[in-house]
Amino acid sequence: MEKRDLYAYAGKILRVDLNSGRFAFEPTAKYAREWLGGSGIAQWILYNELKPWMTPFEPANRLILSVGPLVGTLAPGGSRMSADSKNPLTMGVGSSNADSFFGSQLKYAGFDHIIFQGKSRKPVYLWIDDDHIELKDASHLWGMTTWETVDAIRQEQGDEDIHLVSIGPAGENLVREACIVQDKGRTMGRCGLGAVMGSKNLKAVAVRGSGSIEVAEPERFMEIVLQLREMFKGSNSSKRFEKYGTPGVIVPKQETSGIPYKNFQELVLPDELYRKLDVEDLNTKYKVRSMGYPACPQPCSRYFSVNEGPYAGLESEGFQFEAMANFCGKLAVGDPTFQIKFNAYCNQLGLGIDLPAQTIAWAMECYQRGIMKSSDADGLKLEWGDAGVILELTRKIAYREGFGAILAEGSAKAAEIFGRGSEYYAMHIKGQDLYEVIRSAIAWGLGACVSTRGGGHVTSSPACETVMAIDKKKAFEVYGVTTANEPIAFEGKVKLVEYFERFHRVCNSLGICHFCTTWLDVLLPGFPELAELYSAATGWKTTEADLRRATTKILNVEKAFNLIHTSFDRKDDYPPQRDLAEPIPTGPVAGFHLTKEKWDKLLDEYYEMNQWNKKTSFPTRKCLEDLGLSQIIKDLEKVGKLGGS
Amino acid sequence: MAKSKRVDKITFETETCAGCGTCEMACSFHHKKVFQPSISSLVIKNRPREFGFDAILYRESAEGHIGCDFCKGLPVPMCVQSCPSTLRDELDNLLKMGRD
Repeated sequence: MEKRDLYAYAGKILRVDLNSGRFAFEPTAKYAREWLGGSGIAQWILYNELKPWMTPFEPANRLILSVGPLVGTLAPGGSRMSADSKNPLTMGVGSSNADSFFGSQLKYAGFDHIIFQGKSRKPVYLWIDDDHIELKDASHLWGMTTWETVDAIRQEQGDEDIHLVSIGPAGENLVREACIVQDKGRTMGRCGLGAVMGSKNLKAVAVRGSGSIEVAEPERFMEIVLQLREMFKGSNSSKRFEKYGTPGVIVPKQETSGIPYKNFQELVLPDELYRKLDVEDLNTKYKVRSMGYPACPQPCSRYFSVNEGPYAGLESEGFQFEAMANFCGKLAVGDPTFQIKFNAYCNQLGLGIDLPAQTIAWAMECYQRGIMKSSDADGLKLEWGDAGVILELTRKIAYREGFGAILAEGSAKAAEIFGRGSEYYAMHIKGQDLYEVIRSAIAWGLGACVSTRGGGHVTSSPACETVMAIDKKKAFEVYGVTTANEPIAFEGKVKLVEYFERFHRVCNSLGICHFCTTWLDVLLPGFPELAELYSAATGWKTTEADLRRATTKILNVEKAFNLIHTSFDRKDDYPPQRDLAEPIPTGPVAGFHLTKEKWDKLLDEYYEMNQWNKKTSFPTRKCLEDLGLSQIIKDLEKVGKLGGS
Repeated sequence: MAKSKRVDKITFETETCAGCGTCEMACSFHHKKVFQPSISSLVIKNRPREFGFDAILYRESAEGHIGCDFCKGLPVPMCVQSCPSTLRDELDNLLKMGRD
């Protein structure tokens, strides 16, 4: 093989100006060494190119699709792609991630990133076929669901194996948490990036790539891949995960009060509902076969066929636990096939599931408490568990019809519009609808509340606290704490968040699925293993310390973005009022009360760990100097947000 | 199973394949030490009108794909090695059928 300048990366960034229809290229090498890849590079580009006056839906906003250096190789779990932009829900950092076939195809076509700016005068889709790049008319696709769009583009191109990302009606109608759907079943679900795409009249991006990805040390790389795959064989968590996917966590989540029921009024499911959602039954009754993504040793997805009940005839790739918790927990729907239906419906509409689940839960609790009436909701009776009403409201949200137009803004803004004391029941972090139960797992909650993108449980939170029986000795070795699976213990939790804030960014920059790492099980690949893999892939000797430093830089870039573009500071790192006001009412940790005093101590410790000012949360000069981020020091000084030490 | 008259390739209708395509990457790596599914001896394709995956095995080099050498010299073919362990029996059987 000839020697190359850059290994593992595809090598090129494609810039698309939707105003003019012109393309430009720049080398990934400009950013790769310092910012790793994927959303790490994307966030640095957004920090430099977006000004505070650029709003999410205006042409000047950039939308960046990214694929990390380990995607398109046999790195275990190396199939992820990211979307990054300014977040329509929070006005700050927006970043979302999904499993994909699109990612590796984009790399085989020669690209690591696509940066969109401007707005097309009419609907278009971008077609990339190796070095053939074209903006094609999508007027005939506008209005279609994402599933219809996939079928139409595959037919148009005469190839059933083209992979694409697209938006549905929710994105076209700028619903604030509209999402970008990869093929028919994986989504970049958070942060409303589908709406950003819709605001640009960009319906889809389709790709086919026939090129190759080379790694710097092929033999060494494969040796490491085989060693890492062995780690999965020794993990019981991996075996269970492959069998049930994330819905399997319903068992430990029920045992640790981790499931939102009726808008977080309770944190466990009633026994009868819990039994109906049994995951063994789900597989037995509805699973057709497993589905997997490139390079993953534990295919955790399932294709379902519903053969009974109101949704008989529906076939779809399955759902995550988040869907189960949102639809059957938060909205109290007792039909297990509803999870499959609602997940499929949201995918078709291109609607992130947290928004409909949380806004409808907010409305239903307001109705329960007499704050809202049917006449406020287009005549609908907002009774808990009414699947028909939930589906109708979801349709209204996607099309911004009637009451749906208010819900389409997310629960924080909907409550602001509606008033009448409904704000208490709008569960959100920094304006983004909340799925995570905060008050029954301390590191999980802290990670979600301080997350730069507004909530989210992968951004900085550990799964281990509530979902696995942990090898304590190995956990101490890997995380440095002894309380990793003690949800309501406070000790060691800031250290856990420190680990996962950085580790999450390693995964999202390199393109590795969290479930193929220490996020799922301490016995799986972590920092040292990914550093070795990245070294052999790129030929750049990289250690755990190098990865931690790079991702600490990325974290501070995101923090600075939020400080420059929003008014977020310490006050926005708190849980919703309900989590601090109400002790857990029932279940295994009934009576536990997460108070403001306890949260304040936690935040103080967290800011100190990050070298951020305790009063304001602003990064200190020392923090940024240590990271070599002198430009950010100047930028924060200009806006009066450089943290005093 | 369908055998093309012009090109020596066999199409198998899989029953348990999860469609991940990991085998394609492993195969191209075996041949050329790069990751390039477009040259792989094994191609996983979406079925056009229903959910499911077909596996096409090229027994001769054609249509841009390198003919399968059944990884002679290796104890287990690369594609089978890379297939998730709970699913690889089907692939192993397909290869055996393809060899005969």
